[in-house]
Amino acid sequence: MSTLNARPMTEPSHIPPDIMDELITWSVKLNSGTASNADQQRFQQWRDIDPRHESAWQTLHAMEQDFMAMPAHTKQLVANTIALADAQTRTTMQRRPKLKALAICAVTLLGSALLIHQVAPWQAPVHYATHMGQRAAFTLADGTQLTLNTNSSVDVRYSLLKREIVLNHGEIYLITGHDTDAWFGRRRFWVDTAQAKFEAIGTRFSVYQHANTTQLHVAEGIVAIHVAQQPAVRAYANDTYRMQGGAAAPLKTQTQHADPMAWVDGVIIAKQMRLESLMSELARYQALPVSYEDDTGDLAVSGVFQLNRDDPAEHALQTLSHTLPIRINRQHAQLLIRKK
Amino acid sequence: MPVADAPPQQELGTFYHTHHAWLVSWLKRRLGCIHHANDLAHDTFLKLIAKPTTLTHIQEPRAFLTTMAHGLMVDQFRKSALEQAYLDAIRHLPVSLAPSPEEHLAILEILLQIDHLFRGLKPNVRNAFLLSRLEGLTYPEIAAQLGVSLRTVETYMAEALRHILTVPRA
Repeated sequence: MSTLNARPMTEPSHIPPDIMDELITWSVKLNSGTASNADQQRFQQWRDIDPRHESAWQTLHAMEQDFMAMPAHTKQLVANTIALADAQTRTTMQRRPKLKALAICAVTLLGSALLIHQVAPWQAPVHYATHMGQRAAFTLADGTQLTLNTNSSVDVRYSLLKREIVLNHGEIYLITGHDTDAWFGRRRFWVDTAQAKFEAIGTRFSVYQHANTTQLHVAEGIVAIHVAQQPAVRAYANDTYRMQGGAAAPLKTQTQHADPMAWVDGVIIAKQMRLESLMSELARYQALPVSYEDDTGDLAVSGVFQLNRDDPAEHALQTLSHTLPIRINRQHAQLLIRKK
Repeated sequence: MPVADAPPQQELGTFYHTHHAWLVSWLKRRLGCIHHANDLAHDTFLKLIAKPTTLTHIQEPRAFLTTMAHGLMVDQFRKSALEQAYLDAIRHLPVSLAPSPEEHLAILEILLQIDHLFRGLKPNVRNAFLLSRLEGLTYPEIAAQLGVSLRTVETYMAEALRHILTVPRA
């Protein structure tokens, strides 16, 4: 540990008690931040007067140097960490002993073996969010690919024994990862919304939570839908389910999207969709108030609509005005659709 | 002077067979986790092997083992608390100040050494010393931060220094 000087040093336990007392008194004085030059000079005299004094001082000095051998920015970090650890220990001591025993099991196992620069499973939930019109993709620690659609928010809570994504609002698309690095075998994978909990088994699927409804679409694999007081329902590839919350059973539905997950690729593909439904959908990406006259809202629309632009809703409407019998008027910051 | 009837290796083997399973189940009852109990029992026996005292010196093997295991558990818990605190501390650092992976391990090593060095001291004694040496505070500043008198800070510093100079090295 010591890398220092070849000056004479005494093994700490061999410093005579009275010399140690004097040394300590000097050291306390000189490190006060208020020592004077006269103090420094007198200390130097003390060192010079007896080789045992000098030797004792070298010993203390060497020990302090070892201890302090780190860059300045590290010193602050070390100080902060120790303060945090103390605060944590105080909090833990206050918890009930039984719970504490279980907590120690998980935390200590990880603490002793995990490399610090990997994502530690015990970390606080990670929050991801997008604003209107924005889409974002992330790869999580277990290899899961998470894509957020417009105006969405999730909290990713991976722990020692399970993987959980809490969908606060909006829509996500998931390709679940294989979790090969998990400590106790592949962890179960859950998505939570206000209306239901979904367990994924090696799948590709999307979950859309809005108002008081959750919609699930499975592209590949199986998702088990858990709704309170209902037996679990299995959703398979190409199934779409809607959950209204409460004790209502999940409802298998048809969708008017040719591909409900096309947004991941930046498009909406409508298949005989009502114009009003399409514009409602596009309003998720661009705020655009629209009102309909002459039942124009009921017109059936098919086609591919681009999301990778600032004005996806307005652009779609302009495109449609060429093929549908409609006229678009601007009226008080709103668009009014009428029959041509 | 102990008289061993059997060679030391056989002595250890017997000791292990007699007490290992018991220790594991004792630990499991207290920790609530079989994995942790196994790890800790393993570490305890490793430490025992490393100790120069022979096994026949131990009057109460089970009390001895549980005391040793408890000490190791405190070490582990403390180490894990430090690691977790360290992660919290670096989480909010700007990228330019964040330590590199090599530095992580070095810093953790320092943390453990400091923690070990000051074990047994009153927290404020250690804190006063660290405030002086790590943060370069003057004693009046330390007094203000800890909410004690200047005289008390001086007493703390003396106690810390005496401890550093006299505590036996592990």
